[in-house]
Amino acid sequence: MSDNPSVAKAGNGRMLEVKNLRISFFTQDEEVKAVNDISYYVDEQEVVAIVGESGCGKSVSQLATIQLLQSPPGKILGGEVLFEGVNLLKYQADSREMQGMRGPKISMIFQEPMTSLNPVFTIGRQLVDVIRAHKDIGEKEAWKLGVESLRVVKIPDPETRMQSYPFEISGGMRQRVLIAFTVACSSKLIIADEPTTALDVTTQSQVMELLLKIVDKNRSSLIIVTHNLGLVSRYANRIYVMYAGQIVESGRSEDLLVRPKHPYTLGLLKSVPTLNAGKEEKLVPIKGSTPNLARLSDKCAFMDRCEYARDICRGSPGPMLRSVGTGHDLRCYIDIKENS
Amino acid sequence: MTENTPLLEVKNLNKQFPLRKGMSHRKNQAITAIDDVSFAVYEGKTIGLVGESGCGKTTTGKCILSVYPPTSGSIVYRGMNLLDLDGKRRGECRRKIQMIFQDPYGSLDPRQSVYSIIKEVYAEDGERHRKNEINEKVEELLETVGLPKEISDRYPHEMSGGQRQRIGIARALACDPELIVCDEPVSALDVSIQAQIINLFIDLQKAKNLTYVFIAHDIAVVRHIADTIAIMYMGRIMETMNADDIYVNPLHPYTKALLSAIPVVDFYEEKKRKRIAIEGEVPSAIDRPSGCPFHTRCDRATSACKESVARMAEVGPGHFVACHNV
Amino acid sequence: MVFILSAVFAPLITRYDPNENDIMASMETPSRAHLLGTDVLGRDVLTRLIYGARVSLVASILSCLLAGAMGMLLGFMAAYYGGVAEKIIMRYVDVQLAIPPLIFTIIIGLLVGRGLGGLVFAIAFGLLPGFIRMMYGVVLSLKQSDYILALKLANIKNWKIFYRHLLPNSFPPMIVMFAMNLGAGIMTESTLSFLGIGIQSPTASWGNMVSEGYKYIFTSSLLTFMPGICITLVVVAVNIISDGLRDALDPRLRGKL
Repeated sequence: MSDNPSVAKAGNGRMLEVKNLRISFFTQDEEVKAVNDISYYVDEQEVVAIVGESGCGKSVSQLATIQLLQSPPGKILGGEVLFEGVNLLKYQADSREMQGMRGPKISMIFQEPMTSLNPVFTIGRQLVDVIRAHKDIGEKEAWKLGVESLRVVKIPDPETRMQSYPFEISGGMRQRVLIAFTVACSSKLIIADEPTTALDVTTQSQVMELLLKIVDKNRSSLIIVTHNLGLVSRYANRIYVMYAGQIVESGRSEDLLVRPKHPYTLGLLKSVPTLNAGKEEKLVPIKGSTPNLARLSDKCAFMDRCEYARDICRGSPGPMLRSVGTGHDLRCYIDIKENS
Repeated sequence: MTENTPLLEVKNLNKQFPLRKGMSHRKNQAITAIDDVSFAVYEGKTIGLVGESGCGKTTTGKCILSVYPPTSGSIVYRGMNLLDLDGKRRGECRRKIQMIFQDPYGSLDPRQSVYSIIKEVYAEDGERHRKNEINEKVEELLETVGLPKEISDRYPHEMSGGQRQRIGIARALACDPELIVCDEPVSALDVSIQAQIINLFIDLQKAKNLTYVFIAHDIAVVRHIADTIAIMYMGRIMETMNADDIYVNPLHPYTKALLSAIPVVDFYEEKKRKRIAIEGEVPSAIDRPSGCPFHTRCDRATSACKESVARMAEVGPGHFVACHNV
Repeated sequence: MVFILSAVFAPLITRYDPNENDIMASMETPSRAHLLGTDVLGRDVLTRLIYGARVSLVASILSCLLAGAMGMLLGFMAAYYGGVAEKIIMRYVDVQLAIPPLIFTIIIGLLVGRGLGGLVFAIAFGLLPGFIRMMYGVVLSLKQSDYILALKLANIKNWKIFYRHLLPNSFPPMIVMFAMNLGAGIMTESTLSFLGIGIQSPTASWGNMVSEGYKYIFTSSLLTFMPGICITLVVVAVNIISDGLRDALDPRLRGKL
């Protein structure tokens, strides 16, 4: 029942394939439809970006794929998460199979390096614990592997750093330590959730370059979840744009960034301040604000903010995804002629 | 005040924060937050202060607002040195310089309604106001910042980040200011809301001839709103130039590295760009590098850079750089 | 939620109504003619309980109010003005806290003399450092808020900032503090009266009822336990109420009750 036409040709070749994922959060009064039937895939050695603003469901969907979702109040209502052909959702969150997934197969880097590391243990301790949780090696060997991982992520003086506590090092370094966890486990798929938001610009650049280098070296794949379109432009092969819990446009980076077809994508591109614009080019904001996910109608979620909305949008239920080019899918009734 | 006198001029500003090392001080350590910062901004114009964390931009903003006194240097507003003013005159000046804060959640008193927030600030101008005059003013301000007047009964927790930021702007405008220090006003907002607020800032500037000191870490944002941009690093200004030139002709190695690190959304443009890798991290404020603070990471550093800071030198119209090697 | 709290509180309140202006008849023998029996001197336990409630509650409420008011003022001064005031006040707090609280209160109680006034003063004194510290912390963190800075930039005077902003915003934690201390206050009152300082016979207070009654704990355990239970119940009730009060005052919850 996939409504993503490009996925139709899926075989077992895909490293990760998510089909029709639905997640809601249940509070005492209402159901917040955080993720409303999304499907996407990641191939080997690809960098895929999931783009959207806060509240669109991008982070929640990633947490769900590795079953790190807080289960009340969140609940996965349906769908499949196929990693190398195996549906991860059929396992319990804390089962041996899932634990075996997290780390060696899939790892995740979170946004806040401050809170992702346990402040009362040294970095070395945490690194060794993670390594030994996934590899059957002794303490000494794990330690060496830890040091090597730190070296790979370019942390100066790795042996000494193993003894440091998280609060003794900077935010950028902490983020690198998190990447070191990934390196140590040689994950095949890395999910980076807003990996650069808490960092300085020059550090952001270093961290991203590092991540890419590792992905390249290990032949892994990378999912970047972000609202930073620049990041996406520089690093991603393919992009999924999310709005109000759905994917509204997806395709190759070039297609989406140069010839976007969804009004939201177009709106985002026009409203983001960019370095090389002339001063006369005014920012064109998207009017209004994001909808309340507890009160979604069955019509297009973007309609009230859309400049291109027409009668067909108001009269019909929300559009389905349709193909508008090779690998380019769109959830919209309108064909925008204008190019950005 | 003549055409050519800047509204605000910051001269050789220095600010150090003493560190107390507990019972045993070997020496009195201090963090230098700002080191010899000077710039000027003219009425109706905007200067952008850009830099990464620890560069001193927020401290500079707070010094301008007299939140803390600088260790040395002067802040000259309309020809008067703010630090020399006595209490009375300073009080008269105070409302003319206002601030917009970064965090829309902490900048409003959660127990005050929107009406009360604006009214309190407006009514404090030393004159008596009648009730309907206040009501009109509140409505007018809300309209100016693009909010419906019905919102005046609401409380901060009922509004979104973008709306709260607008209230903050309305509050600042209620003092009828001439200069506004904007401390990262859009960093905490969603991308699609940022554009709305940036446009609001621009429109207000034109309508009321406001002058902005716009502090941000995002050069792209600053570019849209500023006339002049000053790049700061570890408390010093590295380069000052017209906003239009920044992408085209950056000269200081740090500026170049900074620009290179920021990806551009334009797909083809991004592919064409040359990238400058920058090593290392921002040094700790306690252990300032000698000479030019950037020399530890600069690919063009020479021994001269280690010994002394370069003076700001004019290299083009409105374009100043502090570097030995430019 | 507030209604539920009133319901819980109400039965306790009615017990506190001094509905019987009864004689404290002198009957030696404890008997069941009276609802809770009588004590050694024949006084009706229930009546004494009710009267005692007034005393105990008044004592603890007054002392908390006193400590609270002084504490808030001193805490605010220390936090807002800093400098010398801060050093003096906070050092004093540290010193006082170094002395075991009960001993401190007892000493003050002895110095001030017996009776309700002395008792209130002594308890208040003991509770003071807690309030000061709490207020100090609260104001210190509020002081840093951006909106306070915005007010200063608009030339609003300090006392107005205190009155309109710092004070209301410090109420929630202070209310909780108040409730916690109310319980402590009652306990202290009981202890002091138990020890003979504070409320003296023949006036009833829960503390001295416990003290007199415990001698007979094996024969008429009711004499000791009843006041003890009352103390416990009141402390619990006060805590529940203060939670409700704090929530009710929170503008964020307005309209959601």
